[in-house]
Amino acid sequence: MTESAILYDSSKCSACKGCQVQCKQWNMLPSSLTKDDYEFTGSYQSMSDLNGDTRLLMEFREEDAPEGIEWAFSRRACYHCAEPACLEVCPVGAISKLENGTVKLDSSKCVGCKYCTVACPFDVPKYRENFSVTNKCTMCDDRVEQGREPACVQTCPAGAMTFGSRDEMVSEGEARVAELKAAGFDKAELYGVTEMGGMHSLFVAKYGYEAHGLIRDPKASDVSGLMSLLKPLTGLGVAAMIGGLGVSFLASMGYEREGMNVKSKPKDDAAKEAK
Amino acid sequence: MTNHFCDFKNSDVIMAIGSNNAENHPVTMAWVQEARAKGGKYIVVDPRFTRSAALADIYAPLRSGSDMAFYGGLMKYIIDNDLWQKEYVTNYTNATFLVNPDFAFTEADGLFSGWDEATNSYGAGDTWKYQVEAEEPWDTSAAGPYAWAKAPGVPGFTPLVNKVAKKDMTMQDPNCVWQLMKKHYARYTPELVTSVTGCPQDKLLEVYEAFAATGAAAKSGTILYAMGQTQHTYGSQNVRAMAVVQLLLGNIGIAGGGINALRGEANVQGSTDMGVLFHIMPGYMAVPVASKHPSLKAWIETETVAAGYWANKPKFFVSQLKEIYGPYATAENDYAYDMLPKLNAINHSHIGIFESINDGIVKGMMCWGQNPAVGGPNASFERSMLGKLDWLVAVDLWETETAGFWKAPGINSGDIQTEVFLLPAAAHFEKQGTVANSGRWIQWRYKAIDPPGEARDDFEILDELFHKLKELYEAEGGANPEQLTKLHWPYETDGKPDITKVAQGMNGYTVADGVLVKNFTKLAADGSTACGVWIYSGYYNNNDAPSDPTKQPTGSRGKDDPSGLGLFPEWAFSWPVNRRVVYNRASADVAGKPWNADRMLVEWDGTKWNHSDVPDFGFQVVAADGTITPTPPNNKAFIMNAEGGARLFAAGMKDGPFPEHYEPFESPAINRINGGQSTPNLTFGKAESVKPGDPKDFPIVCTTYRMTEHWQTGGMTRNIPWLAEAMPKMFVEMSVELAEEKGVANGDMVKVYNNRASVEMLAMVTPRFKPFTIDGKTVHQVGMPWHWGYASGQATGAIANDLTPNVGDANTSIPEFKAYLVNIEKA
Amino acid sequence: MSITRRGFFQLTGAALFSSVMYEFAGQSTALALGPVQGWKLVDVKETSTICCYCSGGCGTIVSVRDGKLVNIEGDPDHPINRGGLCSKGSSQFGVNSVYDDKNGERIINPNRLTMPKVRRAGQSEWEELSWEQAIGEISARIKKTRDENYETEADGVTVNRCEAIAHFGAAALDNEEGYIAQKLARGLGLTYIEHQARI
Repeated sequence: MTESAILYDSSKCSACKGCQVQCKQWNMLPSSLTKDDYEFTGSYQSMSDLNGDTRLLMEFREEDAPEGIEWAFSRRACYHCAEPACLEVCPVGAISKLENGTVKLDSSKCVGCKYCTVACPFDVPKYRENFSVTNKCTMCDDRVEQGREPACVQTCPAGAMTFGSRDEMVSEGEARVAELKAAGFDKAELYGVTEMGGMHSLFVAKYGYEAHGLIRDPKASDVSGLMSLLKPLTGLGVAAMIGGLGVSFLASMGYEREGMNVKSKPKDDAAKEAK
Repeated sequence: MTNHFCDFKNSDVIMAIGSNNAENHPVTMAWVQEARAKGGKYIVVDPRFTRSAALADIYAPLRSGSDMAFYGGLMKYIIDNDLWQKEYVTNYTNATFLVNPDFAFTEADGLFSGWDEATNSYGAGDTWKYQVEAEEPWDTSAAGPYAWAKAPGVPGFTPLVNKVAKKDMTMQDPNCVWQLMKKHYARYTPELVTSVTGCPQDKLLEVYEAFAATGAAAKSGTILYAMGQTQHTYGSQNVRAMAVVQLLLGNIGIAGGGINALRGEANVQGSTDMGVLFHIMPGYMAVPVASKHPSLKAWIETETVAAGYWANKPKFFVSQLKEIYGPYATAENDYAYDMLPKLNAINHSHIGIFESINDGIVKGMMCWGQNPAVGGPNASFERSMLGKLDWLVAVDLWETETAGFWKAPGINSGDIQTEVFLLPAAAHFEKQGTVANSGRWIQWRYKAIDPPGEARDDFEILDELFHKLKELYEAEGGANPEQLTKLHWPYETDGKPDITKVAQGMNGYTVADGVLVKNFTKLAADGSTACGVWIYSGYYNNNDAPSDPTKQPTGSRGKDDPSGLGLFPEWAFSWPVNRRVVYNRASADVAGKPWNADRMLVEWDGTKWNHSDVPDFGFQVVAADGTITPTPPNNKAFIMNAEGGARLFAAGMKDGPFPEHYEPFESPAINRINGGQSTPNLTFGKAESVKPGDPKDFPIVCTTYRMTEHWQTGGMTRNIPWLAEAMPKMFVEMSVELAEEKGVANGDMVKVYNNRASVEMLAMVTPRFKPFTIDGKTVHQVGMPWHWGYASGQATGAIANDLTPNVGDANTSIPEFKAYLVNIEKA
Repeated sequence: MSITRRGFFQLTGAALFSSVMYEFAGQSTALALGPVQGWKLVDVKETSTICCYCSGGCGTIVSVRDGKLVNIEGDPDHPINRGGLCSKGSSQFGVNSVYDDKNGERIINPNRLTMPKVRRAGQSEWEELSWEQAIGEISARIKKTRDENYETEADGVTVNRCEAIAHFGAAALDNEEGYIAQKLARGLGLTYIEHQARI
């Protein structure tokens, strides 16, 4: 079977969050029913990160560049890595790789040990408290099986997302990057071609990886090897221990999500102050 | 919209101004991207860097409230650089028409000729009239085109006389519109426009150059606009200015052209078409005014246009009266014309309603799916007026701030004597009926599921209310009971309300046999036809299946697009007569040759018209025996105007025949373009409730807008957890510079205030807002969404409209939500 | 792999139809929480509608099973949106139903109104009432206000108007509803007739 992939083009995205909401709609994921129980991120971003009930999040980053504002939109969800760290560490085989490259998390098998949440270099799988399972994008494998596009892809009103054979998506993405560069977006690049063995969710980063919050040269956690050794053990204590390792791992990556994506001072001033 | 959504792909240049289309009409972006993929340019002009701006090829900032200066500069640029489309302008507009030599504009006071201080108006605008070449009375002889006016059953009226204007085809006469226009806009130099708008001159000229390039005959440019243009005291003139620009560039009537209002609600186009407004009946016909239209005869003589398609207005109006009053409407009683309520001189618009509550005139209110407690200007004043009502009926899916105004923060419900009824309504897929999108496509929505609990659809509620009231009036009598009891209400099948019957009445039928008419060309002024909404005629005309919407034009789902221009002629029904691009005659030259063969809408091939869209002109004559005689091309490209051409100069406007820059009602700047500060006849400027602010106290320009994640007052979207989560809190966006000046950090609570209100919200500090340099001084601008309020199960927040002024446009009384003054401090 | 947006039945003019094409795929008609075990849209009735938000007129397919909402997504056959829906459009499901954040069950959106209510003068709470009562009381108030404030003639002109009642709305109504709303309002002699198009 041909490998398939989602291609997200941030240069065509209007950040309408159709994907974010349609993902919840199709996958029957709730938002809080408690009044005013939502966070303010200081930008148009809905919440600071993915959570147990949110598999896809639109992110907003802005920089006041000399040639104009760089408002970088990012679709944050599972990348469906060819070498998925989450799969490696899952002790119960709840995570599997489908023929088309989709990394599927079967929550009916998940025991909620959270190993995957720690192993993932992108911090994507999230624990769902009320259901004691971990949650992440499934690439809508149910829809794909029925010949439909993933919900997020179909719903994109701007046509910023495409789903198809991975080879085609890679060449389309490369062509888009070339077009962007020709149009003066020198930092444009395509994410996911080789990262983590090649991803099945590709990202045309209009302003370059960093501007879009993409990790250059991501690596599976050092602890993931250890975790795969511990795979047969599913005790709570182990989960807690691994959880602890995970925290230090995240810190060592220097990977932290800003609550407020917008600096209240211009970059120059902030830099001056830092000196 | 003159055009429609799929048509944007045909544009060489798309300019969004006063519209954040990526944000508020996300579906447009696919079509914008298609245009871009073919080399098209997307320009965004907006006070702040928006989601649209993020995707634009050119972004130009401009201070809220300075649009007219921007357009004036663009007109001058087009004229000075000779970029206008000569054949189009000469033949299809009134550029060649001669105006009364007494017409003048005085820069010193910013007034056009004819200003009357006593009435605060331009009166009849006599000096704005054309010079008359000839007078052509209607030919009502048996063989003449207006024979119908004398037919039995047609209300008696004096046939009209068409005054043909004098023209100078060389456009050299100093009184011709072209010369007057050149002179008028000579003042709008790039330097002055930059100083007024705050748009850097290089950006300004970059936009002008890119858009003016569409003046080339084969090129198309479109303007997408929304409330950013209309919600100003000179909003109508903004729209006029766009039309003038597009006429100069030959962009009206062509594929990929037009001026396209991206309207704010799923059926706000439809509800406007339905005349749910104080001043228009369904189909854009005047609501009778007692002083002007005391009789049907007077209405017809005043409202009928002496030439062009509106000459048929008596047919549409009499047919409408026949639909409204059915058998009760007869030739003898002037088709029940007297039963229509007649307006007095009071301004009955949205703002006026609340003034009239204050004046003790209005005592009860029905509110169908509308939430003025959040959506109206000076909303806290409007809320306080709700408390003066005897009763209020709100019909909605949710408890809105309007329904629950007596629960608003700071209100003691014990003090409020208003009795409030709240009726649960059905959502769009819990009922059926049509909606008209901005592109005039009328589409049927089918019922998928029953509404929850005892909620009912608005149609049922209206039907029940009618029957109950009728019963009461029949039983008890009262004031003029016949006005209500004689209403023709055949909207039932087997004793149950049937909305397809309403559709049939709107489409129109012949009275004798109830057969649905094909379209409005079959309507008559003699009482033989009934038609509720003439422009919709043809949308529901299949007599073979009158109760089956799927078999009606409005329900059609044909996906073919033979022209490749995205016209989709078999998808739904586009009013009028399924025409997708209005004024499409102008897509071809005077000889009928398309300006761009690849975008052919109509084409004269020497013997007949070929067309991919329904032609918007008399392109053929069909004789009684069915013989078709094609009509050779002429220059009548705008058949809704008596002139047959479009108006660069429009005498019908209340605030001037040429769009002119005035500052907003509240502005930080002095009008540098003329000596008048704001539009002289803006409405409600003197109302006590307005409480204008001085720029010394309130130096910051504020504007309001919407977000993708929410809708209007948030009544719908703040009650949906997914959306409440997606954009949870009320905020004000401000520049980094202003935040620093005020000591505000991103995420701080701030107080935004003026003389009308003081409201607290979160600060969103962003480089997407930048200070402007206006007239040499730094002017800060902030902006805030108006989606929040206090009544929601999911998300609450401050009401932006507590700050907005309840003053209106001179022509439409649309409030000036988009530019007013505030000050800010850390809360 | 050939993936198209043409996953739906061709509507060919009909709006109501039953989705049987996926029946073979159905293992269970019960909705499972989390990953869907069977095909989610087994045995649903699919109905086309138009999104209720902006004026784009985006086609929308509503899937219902046993009188309960199952799914709402863009209509892939619709020429304007071609299957797409923005965040608001994608949330149309929420107008009727939501998923409970405690247990994931689909429930009617608890914010929806389901009964007529009245707030009596000076009171601080709503009271529920029947439709019959509500329509009766409202009609009586309309009639009283109209009868007490009606003008038949002014300055020698027949005016037949009632200036004491204002009518708001609405762009949220269908055309046919809007048509009879203004017809009823004018049939009562109302002149203060406005809606969102003004603001």
